[in-house]
Amino acid sequence: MVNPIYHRWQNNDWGNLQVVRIGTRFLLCLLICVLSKSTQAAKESDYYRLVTIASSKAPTVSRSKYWKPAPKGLALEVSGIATLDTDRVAVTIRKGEIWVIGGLSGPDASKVTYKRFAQGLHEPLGLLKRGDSFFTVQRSELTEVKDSDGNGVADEYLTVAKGWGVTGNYHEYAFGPKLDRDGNFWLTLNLGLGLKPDQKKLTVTNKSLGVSQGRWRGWGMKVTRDGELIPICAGMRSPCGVGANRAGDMFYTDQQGNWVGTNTLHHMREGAFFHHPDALASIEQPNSPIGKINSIPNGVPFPEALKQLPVLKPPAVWFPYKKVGQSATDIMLDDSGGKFGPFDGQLFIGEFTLASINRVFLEKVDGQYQGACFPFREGFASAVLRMTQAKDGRIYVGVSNRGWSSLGTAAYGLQRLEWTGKTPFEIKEMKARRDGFELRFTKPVDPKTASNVNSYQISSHTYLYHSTYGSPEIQAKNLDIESAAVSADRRSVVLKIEGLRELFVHSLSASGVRDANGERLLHDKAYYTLNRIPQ
Amino acid sequence: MFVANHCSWAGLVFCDADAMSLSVQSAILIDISNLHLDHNRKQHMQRTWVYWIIVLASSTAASADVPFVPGFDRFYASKPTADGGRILISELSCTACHAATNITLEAKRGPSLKGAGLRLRAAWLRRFLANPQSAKPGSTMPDMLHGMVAEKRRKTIDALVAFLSTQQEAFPTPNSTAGNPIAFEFWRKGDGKHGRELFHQIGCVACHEPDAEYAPPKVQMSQLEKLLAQLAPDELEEMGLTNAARPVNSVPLGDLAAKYSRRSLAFFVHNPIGTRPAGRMPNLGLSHAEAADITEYLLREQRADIEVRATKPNEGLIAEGRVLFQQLRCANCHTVQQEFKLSSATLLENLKLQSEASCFKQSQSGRPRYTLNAKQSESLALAIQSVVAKKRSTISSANFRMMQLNCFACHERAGLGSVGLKRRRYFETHSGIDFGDEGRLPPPLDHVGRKLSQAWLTQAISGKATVRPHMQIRMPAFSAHAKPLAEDLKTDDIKQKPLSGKAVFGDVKGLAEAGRELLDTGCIQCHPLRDERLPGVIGIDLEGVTSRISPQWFQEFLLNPGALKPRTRMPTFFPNGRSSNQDILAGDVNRQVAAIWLYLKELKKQKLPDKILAGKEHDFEVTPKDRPVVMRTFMKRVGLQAIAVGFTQKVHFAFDSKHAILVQAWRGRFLDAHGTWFDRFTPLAQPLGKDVMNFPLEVPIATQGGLAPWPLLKKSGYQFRGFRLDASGVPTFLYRFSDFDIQDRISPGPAQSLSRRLTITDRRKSGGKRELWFRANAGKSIKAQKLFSYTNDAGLNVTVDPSIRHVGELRATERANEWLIPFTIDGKTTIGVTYKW
Repeated sequence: MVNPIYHRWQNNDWGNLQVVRIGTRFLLCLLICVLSKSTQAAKESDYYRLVTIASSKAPTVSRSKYWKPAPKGLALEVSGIATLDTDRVAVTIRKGEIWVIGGLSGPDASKVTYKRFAQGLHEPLGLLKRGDSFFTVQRSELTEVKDSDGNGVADEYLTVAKGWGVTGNYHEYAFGPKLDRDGNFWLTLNLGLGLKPDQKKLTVTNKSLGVSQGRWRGWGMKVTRDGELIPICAGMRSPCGVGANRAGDMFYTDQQGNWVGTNTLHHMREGAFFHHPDALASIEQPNSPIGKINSIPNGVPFPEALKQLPVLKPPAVWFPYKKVGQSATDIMLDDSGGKFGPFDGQLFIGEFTLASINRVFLEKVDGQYQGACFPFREGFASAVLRMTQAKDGRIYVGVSNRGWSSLGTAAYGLQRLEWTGKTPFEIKEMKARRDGFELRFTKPVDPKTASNVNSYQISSHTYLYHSTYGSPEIQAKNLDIESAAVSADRRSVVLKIEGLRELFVHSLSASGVRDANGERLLHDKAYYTLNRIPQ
Repeated sequence: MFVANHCSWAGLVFCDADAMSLSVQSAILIDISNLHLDHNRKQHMQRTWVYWIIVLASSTAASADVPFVPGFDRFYASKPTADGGRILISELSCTACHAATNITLEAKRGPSLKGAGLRLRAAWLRRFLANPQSAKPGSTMPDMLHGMVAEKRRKTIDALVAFLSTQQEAFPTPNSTAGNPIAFEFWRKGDGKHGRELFHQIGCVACHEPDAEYAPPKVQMSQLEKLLAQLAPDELEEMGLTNAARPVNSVPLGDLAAKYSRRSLAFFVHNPIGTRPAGRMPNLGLSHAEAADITEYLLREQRADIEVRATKPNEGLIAEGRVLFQQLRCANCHTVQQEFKLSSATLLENLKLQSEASCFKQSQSGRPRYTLNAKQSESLALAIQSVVAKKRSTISSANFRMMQLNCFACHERAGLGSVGLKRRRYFETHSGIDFGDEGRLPPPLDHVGRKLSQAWLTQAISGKATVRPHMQIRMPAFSAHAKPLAEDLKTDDIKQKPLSGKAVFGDVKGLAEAGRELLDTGCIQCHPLRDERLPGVIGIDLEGVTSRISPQWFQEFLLNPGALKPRTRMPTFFPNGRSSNQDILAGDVNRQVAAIWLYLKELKKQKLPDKILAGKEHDFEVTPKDRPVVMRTFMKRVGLQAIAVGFTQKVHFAFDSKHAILVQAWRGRFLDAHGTWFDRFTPLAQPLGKDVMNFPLEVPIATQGGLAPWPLLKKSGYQFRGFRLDASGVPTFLYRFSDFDIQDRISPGPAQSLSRRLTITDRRKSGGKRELWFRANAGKSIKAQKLFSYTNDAGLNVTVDPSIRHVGELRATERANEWLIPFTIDGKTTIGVTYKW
């Protein structure tokens, strides 16, 4: 059959053809609309609405050597963000300013107000409001910024803590601060990359391991209320996100690269070493909680590296590359008590390259955190760098592409993600069991599909620990699912699985599972980092 | 017949099936109805009306479909010629079986089928094999199964489809990197709305049918279009408008939804040459996201994303299909994963046209059958006769290649081609800035072989020439054709041996600076240089122009742009052979052009023209306006924890917060903040102004003076604690050493001096007097000006307020000659200092 609409290319009279075209097209569209209505897949936007408060294209591409912001308006490259109340957020922008953005609760984006609070900061990459003061980590110090005379503009820029190495290398970003349960500040320090000779002069060296970096580079640091700077844990490569869970334990995210197989989420605790050996340049510095290390394994599977190097600790979550992002950023706890949907208490992880947000469920097994990650929401205007949750549950998301690039087409901006009130059908939790996993869903499942083992596939893999950039998924194996038991409330399914492997990532696909209305899962994949199998 | 021959007058005006928005078409309709048409013409129009109603109603048009060959259709469809037939020989892949010695007649051949099993839907393959013209109107694939009885045909198709299902070359794994992010399973994430825009903007509709409902930016008819709509063929010919009026029919897309999955189509549009090595569908350089967007648009009516599923037919059927693939000579045109022996037919030069069994007339079963129309088969016959008679084509090899590749869909050359009249409206500049047609339509290619270097030409045809970023339409890559086509264009266009730069410009030594000045007087108003530009400028960047363009052409073009490029917006700076700049190089025209050439040739290492430099600095220069500016930055000499402070009085300083010392002061302009604010690689800032004074790199106050050496910076124990701004915005730095807190306020004094107040507080609760030392000035040498005033060898004059009560002492150490002043502190004291230089 030849479709007259698309295949009449040779016609040479267009007048009446046009009429026929439109007529047929209309009917066809109508038909399609009717047909597709029932089969249309659920979209993320049905559940989480994305509102752009400000976004801008820049005249140059994000990696341009002479990058410029848009000629007009504020270069809103949000690098730190803190909610003030449901109507206002404060942001740091990468050029070194703090702005208070107001009028956010109103429906009209053009009524949003912008007021500069502080300026002249050096690439601040985090913002915290505590009492009347803001706290931000600049390239070389943790600074308290406050307005002592009450005119709405900062007049005190007080150094809270400093003393980490700054060699002038571009990659020495410093992130934070965030607070732990005791009110201490936490910050993380990037490694320098490709240091030039004059920058190398400003480094510290661990001769036995042959590594040099600025002091405490690649470390997670704690700063007490009195301003004491305490090194806690090491081995970070590019720890762009710092954050606490509900218990007040501190986590950071890391970026795939050399020694880092894929992006990760780690629990920061004293004396832990996470992966990048360059950070060990500082272990001979006073107050280092890590003792002497003789050698670093290179080119072995990560579980093997853990055996060879006891100080090395596995991440709480591996984010399989591309499937759950390519560059993890901020960590944000959903502390809304359900105002942001069904994920109260879970962590949300920003994603730079894919301009999206992922979700993490954590549990403690034998006293150590581990858990699963899930894709959550994509389609942000630019790379997701910072997130904060207002009291009303809504999330403000600062986006900025510069220096790298993302799927987002804007150069920078501020967006808001809000729950529409509709509950998506999702795997809410994935918990490890002695002989499998327990899945908890956001909605009751259809028992027929959910109890069918063919509705699920599961495989496990790990990564190489090595000095090259990233790692393929190695030692991958498909696992057999013996049974799938649906709970009485139909919200949980226990999967009994043959051959779980400790320290491996277990990738689950639940593409066959339907909810009570026959709907598919909004995201049917989950990835559990099984460091320990509960006994 | 009307459908096949587009040469009736109505055809000429109307048969350009380029879609246009409905409103435009209506506009033409009205135009026509207003014309005083004679009765016959009106009748003719009515007849065509009726014809179309019949055609559309009956839906039997398949039999009327013939292979669509753009070069033939546009230029040769009206009258059989050997030249037109030659195009058919290659495009219908005659020479895939009937080998020819003439390489320009090389068979186009069909797509690679190595991945067909994962890319093409089996149902579509069946339809296509059963009747190629019906499944894909315009296809150049001949019917290979004609003449078979229905049952045999069905079995043959089953076997061939079974064999093709084993062709399962995996999809490539795109490498998503930080610099080129690609969504996971990108083909599922296309944005059809954006895809539709891309389809209509970047060049797809130069060849393919636009969506009739898509509203292009320019909906008004151009004067030319209006004129063409009103002229008869003889009038068109008289006015030399035949080429412009020639219809440009669309290359058919076929039923894409039936053929492809989102995944397979997205990978195809991302890299068409991978599957269709003939390059007739060139590579538009789409990103993966763009490929997904266009796919989403093209498959918008495909409901769910149904993958092409790999099937496992029985081995017997596969083996049968494999045998048939060989027997039917499929391998002559299609590559598969297995090697096949190619079977050849009579050489093209030896063909006997009298044979009634020839495959393009009355093809016998087992031979290819082409459903050609009369003009096509007559042309083919003429071409074969001419090849047999060893005659040559009347068109050049370059132009012939351009017809094969359909370069003429976009470019004009030798009076042929250019974007079809009604397709032109789709192409715009990115920013919508009016550059004329030159800024939005692909360039004409007359004498391009003389203009461009072979290397650049090759690069351009390979799709790597990105000098026109302002254009929405993209130059696609023709890959393997780039080199031969570039060579042919050179051969075609170069009649005399080209002159070297030296022969054209003579001795150019020392002319670059004059060239730089000349660029400032005009060129940079439209052209960026090294990606640096005046605000709003979006023309062609002149970086590398001297390696792209021949010296001779460059000279001729500068002297008289219009002569080489009719209707160009490029103005002449040498009207009537006289320079508009008589001040530079004494107005010598040749020397001026040579100077511009030399400057552009050395652009990488040359200073930019002043206006661009000024604009660039202006962009990110920080100038304190109402209040002081305090900004942290990496700074040369001051270090990596520098705090630069600029004042409206145009005297500024920089403070090193690592060691808590004043390091540098200067006057005039303050700082360029681009590096600090926006440069990923964090270069060191430097004072923009003048009178830069470097202060001695030592702490100001210590507990020990007299005979004790002044404490080293590293071991001074100074601890920076931040700063406060007072009501006027002047910072007071806070730091601590030993038992003392220091507040350090530096602000402009009279005559652009700096005035400093150091307030020292004893933090000890015990109280009591303490003796401290102030190191007021130091240098290789130091000289008293008057009491409380000394100047060092660098010219730094320091005057200390006499309230310090001691004139101090000079001492010479290994490190410097120092002026130290002892002072007593009882709780708190303040030292006043003035710096002049």
